[in-house]
Amino acid sequence: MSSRRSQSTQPGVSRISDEQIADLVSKLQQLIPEIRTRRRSDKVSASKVLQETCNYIRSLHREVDDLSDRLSALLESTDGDSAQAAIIRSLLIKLVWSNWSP
Amino acid sequence: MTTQIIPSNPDSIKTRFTYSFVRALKKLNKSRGASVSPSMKETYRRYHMIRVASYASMASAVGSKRAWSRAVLWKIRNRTSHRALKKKSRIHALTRTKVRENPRSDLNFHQENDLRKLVPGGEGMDFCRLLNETAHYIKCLRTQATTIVVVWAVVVVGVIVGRIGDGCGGWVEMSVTCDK
Repeated sequence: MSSRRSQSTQPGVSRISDEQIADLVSKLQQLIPEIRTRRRSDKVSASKVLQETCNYIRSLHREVDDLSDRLSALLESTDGDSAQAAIIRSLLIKLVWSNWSP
Repeated sequence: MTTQIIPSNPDSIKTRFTYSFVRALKKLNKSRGASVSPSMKETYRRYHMIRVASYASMASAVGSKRAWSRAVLWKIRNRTSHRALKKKSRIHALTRTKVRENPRSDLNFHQENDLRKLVPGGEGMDFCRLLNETAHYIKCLRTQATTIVVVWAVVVVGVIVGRIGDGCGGWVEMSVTCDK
């Protein structure tokens, strides 16, 4: 695929090449479980990548919100003192854990 | 007993997010106060604040080097005035100068638009930047999700251990006084 430089009407503005865009789209493709391919050269239309990216971000938002609500429910269901102690312990344990798996 | 812990990888986004988020949880939990049975409104308010805390903590862990994190932090810090601004910007939308156009004609404008709405700060950046920010944003959302799960799991363990400790006497109290 020949790299066509897009024409820019504004002087001094850097031109975005097709290759640059294709490269970024391909990088995105690797992040999305629905359309991740083993070889980056495998063709998925850029349109599809954008579409699936939007769907993926929406599902991640839902997941984060759901998990956050579960945590809220957990904290709500324990009395203040035990919850406080548990939160403090979680910080200590979490830090130890993250040092082993960065 | 000191709770000072110096992590061996202090710069990791995951670590900073954990610190920030758990600190927020501590604060929110403290403010629960003496109310044994909070109202529905109060409960939902707390749920909402924990949600906001998770996004705010991630954005602040990333800092100001990313456009999306700056947008999130700005939005949260300017919550009340932001609503008024949003109204204004809708009126001026037509007169706004166009960002550098996407030169790929095969890319559906509709999808690009959707993406711009999903990625914080996505409206005002050129297409290349948008793709770049999107990739980073996705990685951080994933980290956010997995870390919240771990915090949840560890709090569960903590609560159970605390209850056992209650039986052993004094262990819960010792941990709570650590905080002072």
